[in-house]
This record gives sequence, C-alpha cells and structure tokens, in this order.
Amino acid sequence: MYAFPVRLPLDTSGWKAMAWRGNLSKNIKELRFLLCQSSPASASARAFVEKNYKELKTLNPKLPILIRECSGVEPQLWARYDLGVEKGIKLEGMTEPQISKVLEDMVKAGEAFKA
Amino acid sequence: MGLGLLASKAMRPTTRLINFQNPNNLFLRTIVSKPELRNPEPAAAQPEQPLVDLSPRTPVGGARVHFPNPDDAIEVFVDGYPVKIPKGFSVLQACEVAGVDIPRFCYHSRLSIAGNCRMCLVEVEKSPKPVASCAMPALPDCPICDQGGECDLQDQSMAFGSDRGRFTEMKRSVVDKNLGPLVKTPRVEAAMVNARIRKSVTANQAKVGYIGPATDSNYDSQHLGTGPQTLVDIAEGRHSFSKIISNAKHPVIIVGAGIFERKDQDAIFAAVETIAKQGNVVRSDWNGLNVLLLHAAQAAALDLGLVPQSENSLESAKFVYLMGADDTNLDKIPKDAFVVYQGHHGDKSVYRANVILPAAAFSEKEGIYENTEGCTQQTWPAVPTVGDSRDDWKIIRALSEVAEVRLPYDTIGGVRARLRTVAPNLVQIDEREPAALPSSLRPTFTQKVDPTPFGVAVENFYMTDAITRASKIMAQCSAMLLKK
Repeated sequence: MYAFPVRLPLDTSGWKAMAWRGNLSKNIKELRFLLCQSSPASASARAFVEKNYKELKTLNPKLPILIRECSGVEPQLWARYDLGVEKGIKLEGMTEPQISKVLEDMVKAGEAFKA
Repeated sequence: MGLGLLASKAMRPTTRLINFQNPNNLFLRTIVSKPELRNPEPAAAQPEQPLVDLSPRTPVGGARVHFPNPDDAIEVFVDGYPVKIPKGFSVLQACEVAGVDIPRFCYHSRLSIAGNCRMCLVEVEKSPKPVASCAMPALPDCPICDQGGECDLQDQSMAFGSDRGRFTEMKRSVVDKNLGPLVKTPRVEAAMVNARIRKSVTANQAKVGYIGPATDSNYDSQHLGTGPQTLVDIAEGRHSFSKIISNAKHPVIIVGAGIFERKDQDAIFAAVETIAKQGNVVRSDWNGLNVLLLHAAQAAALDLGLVPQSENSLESAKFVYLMGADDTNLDKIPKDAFVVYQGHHGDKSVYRANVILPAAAFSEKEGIYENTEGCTQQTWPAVPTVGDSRDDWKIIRALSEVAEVRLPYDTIGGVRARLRTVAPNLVQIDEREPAALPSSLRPTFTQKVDPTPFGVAVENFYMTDAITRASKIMAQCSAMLLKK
C-alpha cells in the first residue's frame, strides 16, 4: 500500500495534548512501519497504524509514512533523520500507548540529529 | 544441445540396433550424407531410401575389430547392417564398425566417457528417446534391466529420487506467424495486460470499458469517455457502466499510473475507490483493483520510499544524480547543475552528464526485481560485464567511502539485509504480499476533479525505456507503428 500525498488544511484539533504529532516532518525525513498482515506479534502495531495513520498523515502531509506489510516479519518502527541516520525499534509485545510513546521519543530524538 | 538434436534428427532412424534378422525393415536407410547434414530440417519428410544391399561396409577410419574371445562376439544391426562386435563396445563404437561416423564433441577413445555433450545422440530400437551413443553399451537386445525389481539403484531412486520436473513455469510456445520484425514480444507490461484482457474477452465474454483517448483495440471494448468526469459519473451511479461493474462476478479495475502525475490525482483515485466499493471489486476472496505502473522498477522504487521530497526539486537542483534515470525530463535540470549519470545503456542522459559511472546491465548482475504486481524475482548474471562497469550497489558503496559517509554493507548479503529493514517484501522472492490494511486509512480531502481529459500514457509502446530505445529491432517496430 502506498501513501499518496495529500494537500489539506491542517486539522489542529488534537494539537494540545499531542503537539509532537504535528512536528513529525520537522525532525523526521521518513517513517516506516514494518509489520506482518496476520501474526499476533504484529497485532498491536497493526491496530496502531489503523487508528493513527490517518491523523499522522493529515498532520504531516509531506512526510512519507511507509507501511510495509510482509508475512512473518517482526513488527518494527523506523525513523530516518537528516543525512540518512536511522533509528529502529522492535514493537513486539508493546501496547498501542507504548508504540505511541516510541514514536514520540523518535520525534524528540530527531532534534539531536538535526543538521 | 541444438546441434546434437539436429544431428540426431538428420540421422533419424539411422542407427537401429535391431535384434535379429530384420533385413526387410522398411526403415532401412543409409547413413546420412554431408549435404543432408547441412540441410537437416526436412529429415522426416524425405522419401524413404529404397532397400540397399547388406554387404559389409568399410568401418570408419579403417578400424579393425579384435576379438580377444570369440565367444564374446555379439551381432547387432546398425541401420539394418549386421555387424559383429565384442561385448562391452559402446553404441558409438558399434556404429564405427558399421561404417557410420557419429559426430561427437566430448567423446574421445582415449579419454574417460563423459556423455554430456549430447552430440552423439542416436535412436535405439525400443528406447523411448535418443541415447548418447558414446555412453550406451551396445547390446543385441534392447536395454532392459534384468534385475527383476531387485535393483539397488531403483530402490534408491524410489526413496530419494525426484520424479517430478522442477520446471514449474508455464512453457511458452510461439507459432511462427508474421509478427513483424519481432522475434519475441517486447517485455512491456501494457502488451501483457492487453493480451490478458483479450483472452478474458474472447474466453469469458468479459465486458471491457475504458476511459481515456479513443484507441483501436483488438478486442471488443466500449469507450466510456475521455476524462475524469466519466469516472465520477460511474462512481455516482449515473453511468450505464456502473451496473455492468456491480453485476460482474470478477470485476477488475486497472488504473494507469499516469493519473498520479495530475494535480487532481486524489480526487480521481477517490472516484476509482468509490467505483471499487460500489462494484464490490475488493473482497476477501478477490482484489480486482490494480494500479498499472508506467516504468520498469517503479513498484520497487515506491516500496523503497523513493518519492520526490518536494515539488520542483529538479528545477532548483545544483547537483543531480541520475541513478539509471533514463526517462527524466532533462530540460528541467538547470544548465549549471552538476549531473552524475549511473546506468548502462548510454541513453540521452549521458549527453547531459558531467560524470558517467557505467553500471552493469540487468543481464550482467545478480539482482532482485519487483514486477508491477508486487511479486519479486531473483536474477543471476547471464553474461560478463562489459568494460569498466560495476554492479550498481558497488558504485554507491565506493562513492560513500570516498565521501566519508561509508555505507554499512559491502556484500550483496549486506545489501539484502538493509533491504529487509526498508521493505522486507522485496526479499520474499517469488511471493506476493497481500495488502491487509484498507485504503480508507488515507486522509479525506475536499478536492474536485479537473475535467481535462486523460492524456496518452505511452506514445510509442515499442520504445519505453533506455534498453528498447537502444534496440535496432524496436526501432524497426516503431517505424512500422508510425507508418500506420
């Protein structure tokens, strides 16, 4: 499934508590979710994508958010920063709020990588 | 192989080791002469030679046969000629004694028998297929094992042998029709899709409707319209074709990737998705919604996330790296930009390039390719690289070292491990990964379609990339196309 870029006025309704969600594209060049279509290990990562992709993409319309489905793959979240620096976290065993925290930490870590 | 087959065809029913006196065999014929060998095709149609005398002929090279033990002599028939040979002689040796010279590459009387060149194939009576005469012992009887089933080899074969061919692909045969200057059809996805649609139309009476410029197709089809408005009409149930889609058992929608070059791409794709939803095109057992990409390697590039970071990035560039990018609009690149070209066929981009880094062609390297359906396939080098060209990844790896940003891989295994962290489906060779997430996850939007009609995606389908543009045959095809 490919993420098609969309040009939209930003929906700022959720910005107070989750302000970092609108800053993804400031610190991150690309976000990649790797997950299995059917495995229980990927279930929470899949649920996270299903519930949050729309919001993240709406808030960050120019940020490539790649969702790569592959049977048997361990669920992972990768962030690419400036100059090709990458950070990857395995999501197996995490709950959806934990995955959200991983993403938040990745966005904050991006400050340090900014050239 | 080809030569061996031709030779065996030319010599066909020549070498027959026939059990007893069978002098009246109508298949008797002399061994093929040189002119026949040079013109082997009509062997089957040649008139049978009349019966010839059975007097012994001169053995090849004047060979004499020495019988260490006269009891070991056996009599066999070569082309109906009886010859006496000692036990243990090969079919090839028996033929030589009978004056029939069997062509061979790998066999030499003073070397051990390899039997692998297949040049010396001959027909042996009761043998289902031609045998390598250099490796087959000549026997008066047809070669049947006399172990009566108590055979170690047979047991091993039953236990461990594979009795199925490993060739699982479809064999493709082409009847010799006037196909123009093409020997094989060009590997252009559009041609394949065209053929598949034609098959569906003729075999299943599939109804085909298309939107875009009117074309001549060689199957029945209905031209629904030229622009996005027709899509909207179908999506909103105002078009007669809406019913045809919803009544179809296996509805298929093929969207040309050209729509993604339009400003109103989201609105167009939304209309397509609405049609798909209303026509039940995507179900748990059937996914009939397809996006047909326009360029080779486009599916893999999208999987890797190679998308433009900003609009007009080319127009403002100071440095441009064309990575096998042969279809880039070079006019967009500023005059003072420094251009590096990496690729193989030396298409138009090389004339603009400041530096050319020659890369190995697809036929010269080990590679993974993803087709437009998302199925990946592995290739191996078929020919050695030419000149100073290198595998693409090695060029990038070397540059990274010179630029002091060394990439973390220096083997093809390392490259694949990296692929696994970007798009793991690319290293699932021969697999197609289903898309489990619904497309409804995409953000909603408020765009409207632009009524501008769709353009022609492929002007000249014989020349769609650097390889076909460099091909003489494709040039002949295009000339014929343009003449029409």
